[in-house]
This record gives sequence, structure tokens and C-alpha cells, in this order.
Amino acid sequence: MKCPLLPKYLAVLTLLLNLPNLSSATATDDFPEWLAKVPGQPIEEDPDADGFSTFLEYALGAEPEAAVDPFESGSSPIFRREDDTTMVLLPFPGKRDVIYYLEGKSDLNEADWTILAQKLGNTPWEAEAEGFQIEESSDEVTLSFENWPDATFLRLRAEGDERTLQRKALAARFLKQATFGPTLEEIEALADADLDFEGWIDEQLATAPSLHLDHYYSIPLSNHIDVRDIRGEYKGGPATLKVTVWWDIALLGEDQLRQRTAWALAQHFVMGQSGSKANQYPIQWVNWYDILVRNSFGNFRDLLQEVTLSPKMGDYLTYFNNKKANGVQLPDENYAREVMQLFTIGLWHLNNDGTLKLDENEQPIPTYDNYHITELAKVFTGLIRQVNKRNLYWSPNRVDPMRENNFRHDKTTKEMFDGTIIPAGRNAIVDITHALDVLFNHSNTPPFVSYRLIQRLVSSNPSPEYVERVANVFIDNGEGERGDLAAVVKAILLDPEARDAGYMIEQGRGKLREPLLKFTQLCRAFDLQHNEANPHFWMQSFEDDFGMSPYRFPSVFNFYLPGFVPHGEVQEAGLVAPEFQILDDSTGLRTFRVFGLLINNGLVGGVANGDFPRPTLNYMRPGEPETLELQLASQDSAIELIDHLDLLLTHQTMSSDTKEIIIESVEAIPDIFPLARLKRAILLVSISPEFAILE
Amino acid sequence: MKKDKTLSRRRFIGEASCAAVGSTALFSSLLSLRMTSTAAAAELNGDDDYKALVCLFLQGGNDSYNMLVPRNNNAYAEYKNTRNNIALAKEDLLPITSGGQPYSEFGIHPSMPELQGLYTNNELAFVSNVGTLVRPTTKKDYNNKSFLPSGLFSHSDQQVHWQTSVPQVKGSAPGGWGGRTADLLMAMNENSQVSMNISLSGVNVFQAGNEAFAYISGLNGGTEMIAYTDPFEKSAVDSLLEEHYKNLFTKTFAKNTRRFIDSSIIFNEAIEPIEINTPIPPGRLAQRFKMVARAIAARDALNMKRQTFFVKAGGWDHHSEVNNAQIVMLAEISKAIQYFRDALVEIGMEDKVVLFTASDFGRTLTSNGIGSDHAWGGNHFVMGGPVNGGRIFGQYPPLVLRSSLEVGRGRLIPTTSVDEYSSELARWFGVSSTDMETVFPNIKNFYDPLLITHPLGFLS
Repeated sequence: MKCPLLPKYLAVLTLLLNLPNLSSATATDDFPEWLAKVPGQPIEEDPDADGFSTFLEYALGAEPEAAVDPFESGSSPIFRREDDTTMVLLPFPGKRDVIYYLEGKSDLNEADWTILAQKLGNTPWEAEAEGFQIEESSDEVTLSFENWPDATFLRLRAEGDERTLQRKALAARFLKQATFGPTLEEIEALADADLDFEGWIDEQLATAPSLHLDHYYSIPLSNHIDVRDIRGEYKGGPATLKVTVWWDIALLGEDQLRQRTAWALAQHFVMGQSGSKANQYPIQWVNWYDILVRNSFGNFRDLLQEVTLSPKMGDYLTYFNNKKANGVQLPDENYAREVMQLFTIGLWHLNNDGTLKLDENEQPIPTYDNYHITELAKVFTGLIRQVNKRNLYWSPNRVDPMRENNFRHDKTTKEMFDGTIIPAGRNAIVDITHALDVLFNHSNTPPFVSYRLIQRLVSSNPSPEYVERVANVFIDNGEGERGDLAAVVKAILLDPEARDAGYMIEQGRGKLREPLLKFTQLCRAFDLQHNEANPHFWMQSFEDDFGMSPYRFPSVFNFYLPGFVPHGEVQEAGLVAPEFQILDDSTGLRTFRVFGLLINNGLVGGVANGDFPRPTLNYMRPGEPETLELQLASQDSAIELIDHLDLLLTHQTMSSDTKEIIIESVEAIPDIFPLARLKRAILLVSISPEFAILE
Repeated sequence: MKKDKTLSRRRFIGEASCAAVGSTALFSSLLSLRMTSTAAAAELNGDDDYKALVCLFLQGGNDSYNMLVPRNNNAYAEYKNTRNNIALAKEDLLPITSGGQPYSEFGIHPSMPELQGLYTNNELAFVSNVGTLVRPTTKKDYNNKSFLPSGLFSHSDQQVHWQTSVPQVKGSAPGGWGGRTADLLMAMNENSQVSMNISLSGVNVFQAGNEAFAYISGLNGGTEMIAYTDPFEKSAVDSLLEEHYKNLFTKTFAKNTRRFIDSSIIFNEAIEPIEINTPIPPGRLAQRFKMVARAIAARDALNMKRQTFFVKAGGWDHHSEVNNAQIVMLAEISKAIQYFRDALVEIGMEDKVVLFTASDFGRTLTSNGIGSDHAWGGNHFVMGGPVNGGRIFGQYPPLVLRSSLEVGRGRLIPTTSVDEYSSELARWFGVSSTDMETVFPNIKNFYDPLLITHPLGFLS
């Protein structure tokens, strides 16, 4: 066995046994920000002449100060020989904008180094050469190889990631948080725009909203149950129509961020079919949903007012036609309770970072008690429907905001939970507006709402600091406005905790994705399109398959609770994971069955309703040019195909084992059957745990 | 992160102690769970008869003072006066009688004739004014807010508290009493490869213990894994799920999926040969009960000596239309219960199974015009061969305002705790008197589990 001659800078490092910790202050900076913090802004490549270029010191996780300190150079690899194995210990997670290569050659005179393993940013190492073993634990990575003949000389090389795959992975990850699923074009466009996430958000904020009502009117109903008045105006339709509108817009709408936000808000201001009236009048439902769509980038206070006056919510939480006390009949308490518990302040006093305030006995402090419920119930009395508009809506009017009938309104004084007195003698909407102002302005509302929206879009367990940063934007968008949802959404998505890939490798970060969003991602990634004969997505209810479906909320408590803790390791780590509440033996497997039907056959029975020519995914559409995926699937090796799907579907979080498993299974089908290969590849990726988790 | 039992326990205690009200016993007893499990199983060796507990959860808060109504003249007049426009007409009530109450004439909701039949046949008993309590609670305690369940009157909290029976602790961290019972008794089902807890209604708190969890069945049993028909895909899926994932969510997802696939295969193999021929009434609830009956009939194939089942019927939050809605919904319950009983007779297991109801809370006695709002104590029923039927247990309360039990709008302080109600079920199921405090940490506030007498007597 030859003793390997190592390049100078690596040989020196074998002596370093105390591994420096990755610093916290700058661990999440990209290179340009990090460089800007180097003291004195030297222009040399290696200003401290320690043999490490400034970029390499950055890549090894050093502090900016190390660039001018010859005794500091970050966490360096350690090369060690044990028996016949050479091990390289790499005790750092990697910077997200760097690609690391471990390279070797047998003779110094050789011109080319051979890549033995590579690592994209802070994703796991992947072996490139045969005979390589990679073992990764949470704090170190061991690359080992036995008698690799050419590994006489080894080096670690770091490359900046300009226009690399890593950049695309970060784009894909962002788009999974902010949309119903990225397409390759969107990923590439965002990567090419230097990952200008803020620019992308600004563009989305300026995109015209796809209103569900407009789309609803555009759907011809000749082949459906059709309810028209004598003048031929369309009034009703099958209950599924509102769902079709939802799917058309979710999958094809240009205003992805708005629709994605509306879906998050729909899980906050929950109003669902179960327990509701008039399911056969979709116009009422799309009008409700448009309240969420219109206000997604508006102000939370306006949204709260519109929600409260919505006749659909009035029916759902039973305060429509709620009357002042009459003998032993007392006002309905339903909305008074839920508007506090679920929509604004919650049950417990919160710090601005979303953690519980505690009293002197270390106990959480309730925000209100039942007395305050009975008091607030009096506020929500005297709301009745607008008059029927016979030519527009099926009677009764569950479209226009409710109006007041002050004979039914309780005009006594009411005491709110914080001591605010709603004075006597005023009309219903004045009282309601006053009470909603108090809820909106309470210090609980910003962290309460922020935490829930972060859970929907980014992470099940945001740090208190993350919640506080977003809550502060809720309190003041920078221009003195409280409740600016566009600013809140932007703060959620641009926060370091959402953006820095460093967070991806922490074991408890991220979230289980909603099965519905996994499904929309598959549809969008492979360009599910209408066809002329059937220009709509008549999706079925996925309630039994996914445990969730548009408009199919089991109750005002959403599909899952924000504090749900699944059995096992998540519980032991003290974390929550709401979406696990709907993952069970039944939904867990039925979800895959729906994916399989979609991937193999498009929108067939079991996925969509009706006897229509089926909308299909791009790779199964006849007469269209061969898709990139099909081209890749017809190659002898499936490696490129799986790499591509790893970017498109799992933002390069697939482990090398996962890839290998899928590649092997795909290659078991001869390459003369690219379609079969592609379907198997997508199906297996859709089943892979990496696809289920948004890291 | 490595699975570390010691650590997780310590965490649990740390969390719970900040929310608990002076009950060191709670934590020491939850701690002792693991240690007692083996002993409990050994103790039960002689008792190897099969038993099943079925929880029917009426989600949303059933207005149960219209399910069980006084027919005694004075008491009905009070009821009518308090409930006003949501009171049922006396002549519509299905008459029953009971000893042990201040008067004997009661009536069941008119759409529940099957329940009346089962009651008269001594196969069904009611338990009155049951609710979540930390310890016996007076109106003064309520006004002083001392020892009250956290999140009183809130759906999400009270649903959880009914299932954990540790209402001073917010949230589901303590696990459900069914789960803790299963932790103790699961050793009886030695060779079983599917959980002894089976849910027809998804993941729930009731069946979650330290070790125990629920197998979730659909109406037709387990789902087949899509990729399993192709050997290459099957082996790929198996490999994917065996991988060592670092992210805790990824790891949990993989582990769960593995379990779903395996359990479903075993469960389906066990239930597939079993048919139930009792004519089934319409509605999903009866279909759920059918699957419960099939799983009970499959007990030998599943290697089960003890099973719990969780069945949910939703939609009981009747702030409005309470009377109209109950006509339809209670009828479905009544027919489904009768069907379940008949199905048990068909498979010869009617003496081995006890069904009991749970619900978020009772509802306000007073009307909000067309419905009723969230309250506290409510009426429940238990059904099965072992039940001392034909009687109302607990204390049927006076349905008047401003009584010593009434805390506003006809919200009644429970006179029977969930602990008493559930511990009687657990005792029948096989939890020993010495383990009772492990399963119900508050039990000694209500009842000395070492006594020979039963907390209530409906299963004595």
C-alpha cells in the first residue's frame, strides 16, 4: 500500500483533530454576503497566505474573519488511514452555494483529477466512483474506499455554484412552498434570475387574481344539471362545480402565490361543506372563496370583516339571524367562541414570538372565559340576509354580505375579554366592527396568525424567532400598516428559516406536505392539461383518499390541529406535525393509489368524475413532441432521468440510496419502453418519503 | 435522533408538569406504566376470554338532554320551562323507567325506538350527566376557577380531554385512556401483528398510548398498496421504506408507511373470509360497525384477546336546527346500534363486547333560538351483554336554571366524571385495581380503585 501524497493544504489538515464548530452568525450567509463581512475587504485570493483561498475558507464554513487570519480556516477535512481503508472525515454540512468535489489521481503527472464523490451545497455526499462508501451521521461524514488504486493523491475542491443544479434545487424548494407545484420552466426561470425570490413574489403580488366567480361563469353547463331562471340566467349547478373551479384555478392559474395563500387562509377561516347548507348552489361557495382570494394580499382586518359578514359563515357558525335574549332564549355563542379561539387571538395569552405567556405559577393564562363568550355572543346578534336578487341568485341570498336588523340586535353594553366595553344603544354592524377591531389589535393576533400561516407554507415547527419576525411584519409592514397580508406572506417566504438551505439538514425542520399538494405538484410538473372536448378538471372528492379535499373540511377545526403530535420520534423530539393527523393506514395507502391512477392513466375514475375524454399528463398526450422526461427515459441508463425527477419533484433531497433503488427498478424495464420506464420512475418517486416531506 | 425512551419520558414530564395542577401522582403513575405492563399481563393469564371495547364518539357535542328526557310530571315541566322552544313534546317521548333516580319515568328521543327496545331488554343502560372533571367540582369551585379542566366548553379541548381523561393537561400529550389500557394489556395479544386498537374513523387520541397506536381501517378494511402488484416495484418500495432517513418527518413517514402496508395485508387476510349477513341499515355508521363486527369475528386470525375500536359520528354541533337534525341523526345512531348488536349476536359475541358513547360535552339547556350551545355534563349510554341494562346510572340532574349544578345558560357541572365512567369500562376490560391509577391518574379524586364496589355499577 502506497502512502498517499496529499496536496499541501490537505496534508496539513490531518493534524487538526479538534473540529471547529460551524459558526452561527454567518452560517447562513451566501458567499457575497459573507465576503462583504471580511475585515478590510482584501482583494487578494488568499490574503492571509495560509494556503486556503478566501473562497475555500468560506466553503469550509469559516467566519469571515478567518479570511485574514492565517490560523483559522474553517472545518477542514481529515484524512486518515485505518487498516486498508482510507477515510476522509468531513465534519461540516456545506454551504448552500458551493459544490464540493473529492478528487483523486494516481500520478502527479496526470493532467486530470478523477471525481470520487461530490456534494451539492448542504445536500448529502454522493459517490461518483465505484467502490466508495459514504456514511453520514448528523455531525460528520466519512467517505471511505478500499484499495482504490488511483487514490494516491487526494484533494477537496470547492466550486462556486453559479448556474448549477444546486441553484435550481433552491428554486424548486421555494416554489414548492409558494405554489401548487413548480414546473421545470419556472424552476429554471427563477434559477436564471439569480434566485431573486423577492422579485418573484413582487411579480406575483402584481398578477391579476383569478376570481373563482369569473371562472365559474365561464364554464358552460350544457352537460350538467343546470338550474336557470326564466331569463336563462344560470343559478345553480352540481355541488362538484365549485370544486372544479378550484382545481382549474389551482392547477392552471397564473396567480399561484395568491391561490396558494388563499388555500392556507381557507384552512384558517374554515368554512366547509360538512355542516353547511345549500351545497347545490356553487355560486354561493365560489363567492365565499373569492373573499379569501381577493384578500390574500390585502389586509387581515378587511378579511376578518368580510368573513364575519359572509352569509356562508353566518350559516356555518350559526350566527345568521342570531337574536338578542328573549326569556330563557339566549344568543348563539358559536361565532363568538370560534372568532376568538380560531380566527384571531386563540385560547392562551401569547408572547410576540408565539410562545405561551405564563403566570407566577408557570401556568398558561387563558385569554377569555365563558363569561366573555356570552358577552361577545350578544355582539353577533341582528345579522340577517340581504334581500333576494331573483335574477342573480337562487333564493335565499347567501352571496351578498349580511345586513343588520337592529330589532334583533342586543343593544345592551357588552364587556369584551380584555375589559373593552362595547357601549349600549348601537347598531349591530357598529358593535361588530368595534369588537373585530379589538380582536385585530390584540397583541395575540399577530403571532397567532403568523404561526399558523408559517405552518401551512413552510414549516411545522418554526422557531420563536421566526414567528416573531413575521409577527413584527404583521404588526407593521414598514409603512405603519398592521395586518398587511402581502407583507406577511413575503416575510414568511423570505425569512432565513424558509430560505437558507442550511435549515434543510436539521432533523426536525420542514413539514409533512399535504397529500393534496403532492397531488397538485404531480399535475403541474407534468403539465396536466384540459382537452377541447373537456376543458375542465372534474376532480372527485379526495376526502377518503387524502383525508382532505377542497371544501371538505370535517369541521371549523380544519383537517388537522396545529398542535398535533404523531406517535414516535417526532413526539420524542418534542415537535408537532399537524399533517400527520390525516396520515393513517387508510389514507396513507389510498393516496398512493390515486397517484398511481394519475401517473399511469391521467384523470380516470378514482381521480376524476364524469365520462369525458380524459385530460392527461404531457407524457401520455398523443401527437405532441416527445417530452424531456420521455427522452431521458429512453436512454440506456436511468441516471439522468432520476436526477431530473429529483430536481423537479424532490428539489434534490433524494438520498443516493433512494436514487439507486429507483434507477435499478426503472432499468429493469428495457429502454425500448420509455413510457413504462417513466411511469414507474414517477410512481416510485411519488411514494418515496423524500417526496412527502418539504425539507 | 436516536430513539431514547428515558429522554422521551423526561420530556413528557417536563412538558406536562407546567400545565398540570398539583398532581404528582399523575406523573409517577404514568412513569410506572412500562414497569407494570408485564406484571399486568401475567396477572391476566387466567382470564383469557376475549373482550372488546367500542367507543362511539359523537363529535361536536350531542345535545343529550334531548336524548334522555324526564317524563315525571314535575321534572318534565322543569325541562319544558328551561328548554323552551327546543323542548321535545312529552307525548312523543319513548317511555322507559329507571330505579336509582329521584323519579322513575323517563323518555328516549322519539327517533330512537331501537334504543328503547335494547334498554327494555336490559342490554343498554344510560349514564347521566357525565363530563370532564379533575376532581369533584362545586359551583363555588367553578366560580373560583379551581381545578377546572383546561379549555372548558371548547370543542378541541374537551374532545381531547374525554379521550385522555387527564383534563388538567392541555393537549394530547398524555395519550388516551384506551391507549394506556392497551399499553398494559397488549401483551395478552402476544402473536398479533396488527394493533389491538382499531379505528374506523382515523387517527384519534383515545387509542394512542406510550407504545400503543391504532390501526386505521376503511369501510372495507385495509387498502392494497399500489406498487405491490409488480415484483420490481414492490421490492423498490420495500427498499425505499427500509432506508435510514435523517429528517425526523421523513423517517416517521417511512416507518408509518411500512406499518400501513404490513398491517393492511394482515388485517385484510384476517377479515376477508368473514361475512356478516344481518341486514344493514343505510348510512356509513352502520358500515363502520359492520367492519368492527368483522374484526371481532376475525379475532383468532388476528391473535387477539383484547381489542378496542374507535368509531366516530360527526356533525353534532347543533347551534342551530338542533331538533330537526337530531330527528335524523339520532335515528341513524339508534338503527346502527341495533344493527351492531344483531351483528354481534350473529357472530356469537354479544356477551364479549361493550359499546359506550363519548362526546365533546353536553349542550346548554337553554335555547339560542333554534339550537343550543357548548356546555359540560351530558348523558351517555353503554350497550352490550355484560351491561346491567334497563337503568340510568349516575345522577340525572334537575333541569333547572340557578341550581347548585348550573353555571349559566343551563350548563351543568358533571356529577359523574369521565374517570368514573371510563374506569368502570377499563375494569371490565381487564385493567387491575392496582393499575387503575396508571390509566386514570385522577381516579383517586373520585373513587378508590382498591374497593370491591364499582364506581357506578353498570358493569358490575
